[in-house]
Amino acid sequence: MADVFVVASIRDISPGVKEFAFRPGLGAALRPYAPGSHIVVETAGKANAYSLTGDGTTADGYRISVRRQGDGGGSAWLHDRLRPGDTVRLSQPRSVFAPVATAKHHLYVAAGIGVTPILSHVRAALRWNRSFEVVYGYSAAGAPHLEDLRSLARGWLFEAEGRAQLAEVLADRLRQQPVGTHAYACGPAGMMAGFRVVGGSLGWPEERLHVEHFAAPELEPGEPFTVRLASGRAVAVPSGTSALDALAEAGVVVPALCRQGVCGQCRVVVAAGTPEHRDLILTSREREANDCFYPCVSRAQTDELELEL
Amino acid sequence: MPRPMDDAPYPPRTSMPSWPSQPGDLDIAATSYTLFSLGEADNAALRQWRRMLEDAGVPHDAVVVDAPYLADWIEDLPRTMVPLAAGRRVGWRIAAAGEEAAVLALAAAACETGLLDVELTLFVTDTRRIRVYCPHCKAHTLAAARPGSVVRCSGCALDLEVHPHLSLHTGMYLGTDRAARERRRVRNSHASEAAPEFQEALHG
Repeated sequence: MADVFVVASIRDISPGVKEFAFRPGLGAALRPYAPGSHIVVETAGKANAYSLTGDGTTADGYRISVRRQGDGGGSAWLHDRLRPGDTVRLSQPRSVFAPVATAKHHLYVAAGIGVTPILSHVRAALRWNRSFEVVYGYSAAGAPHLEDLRSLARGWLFEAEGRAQLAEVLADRLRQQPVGTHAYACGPAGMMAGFRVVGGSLGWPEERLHVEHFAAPELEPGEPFTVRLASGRAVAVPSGTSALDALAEAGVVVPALCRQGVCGQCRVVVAAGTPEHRDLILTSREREANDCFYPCVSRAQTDELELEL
Repeated sequence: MPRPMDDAPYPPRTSMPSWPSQPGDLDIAATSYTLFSLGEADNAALRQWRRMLEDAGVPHDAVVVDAPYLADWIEDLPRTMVPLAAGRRVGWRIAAAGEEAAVLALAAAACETGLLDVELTLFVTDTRRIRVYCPHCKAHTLAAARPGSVVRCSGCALDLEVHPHLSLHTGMYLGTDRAARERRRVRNSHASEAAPEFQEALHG
């Protein structure tokens, strides 16, 4: 999946945040992407996902902005080891946070380094002439890409310094949105939870509130269960093994990408039985329907799940 | 060999509406509601919803259209929906009860203004009339019909066979030239006598 890219440039964005620009190496190609997409960067034995910050047309390469977190992780490796001219392996762009095509207006909400996919959305909105506005919360210690947003979203940027002010500005903007608006948030988990709670209390259905998850939560190994295929064949899913892996072992390969309940690629239709949904894709209404599940993370509440496979 | 022609919708039945038997609960998390009573006999659903919203303290307004005026009201909807939705904020919901043709037309106009399915509560009290879309001339016809009926197109006067195929985007059922089916039957009977490669050409 991964191709070789060359670091074209590295520049400081704000304290602790650097931007890396990549150009394709031999045999690799830049691929246009939906705003809000991310790429997986292979760093010293690890793989980390970072949001692309461009408008999706890739005219100036792939660009990511990375905040250095801790000393042993991928971000430290990128900050400390990588130099212009070095090669690195990158996945194709993956889109799990795209704008809704039928939206009448877009409300983008960013906090801290969560600004990176929002920057991509704003640039794409300008390119495609979409109606939008931005709420950006930052701390006194650093506001990555604030100047970029100020010049891109002139007149439509609502800034907030610190959590209290962000909560206030966010509630105010959620209250003011015309019918047909979709809202998108990226930032710390606490901010995104607040975004959903406040939105819900102001009458926003969750179908209008979109969040970008940096990382899926750690999941319990879960109880064993059985999946039954359309052919009648039964496949046992032991505790600690995903249904996706158990199926693959039995020779039934379901196409999958993220393997953490985020991307939606591995969706399987459920004909009978009740899934235990552990993905980050379905809304609560869709969960209640119990007519599909994501075998990469989800399991079963019933002993058996009958699948249309 | 040519595949046998199959008129069944695929995936099966997914475009046919299945209307609830009760008006349904409204979402009291909404910031406001507009209620529609569209040719509803005694405004029963409207009154039930109104009580629900009054108890919950949700602001609401109502539009009541009596049956004789419905046909014109439906035609004007794409225009009248614009001022109705103007100035409304996210949190607004619509609930509509009454004739299927009007409820479907309203749902289509509401989606056009940006509302989502989950922001609409629909309740059909009368399924006698539907709107039928003609793909031959792009006109539509309001008629007492159901899938399987034949309706004379108001635009091109073709006899349209109504299919169990509803577009929620337009609120119309699909109708196609009934004679086309007859022509196909004649053609097939000729084709069965023709050489195999000619059969392919006829069905291609």
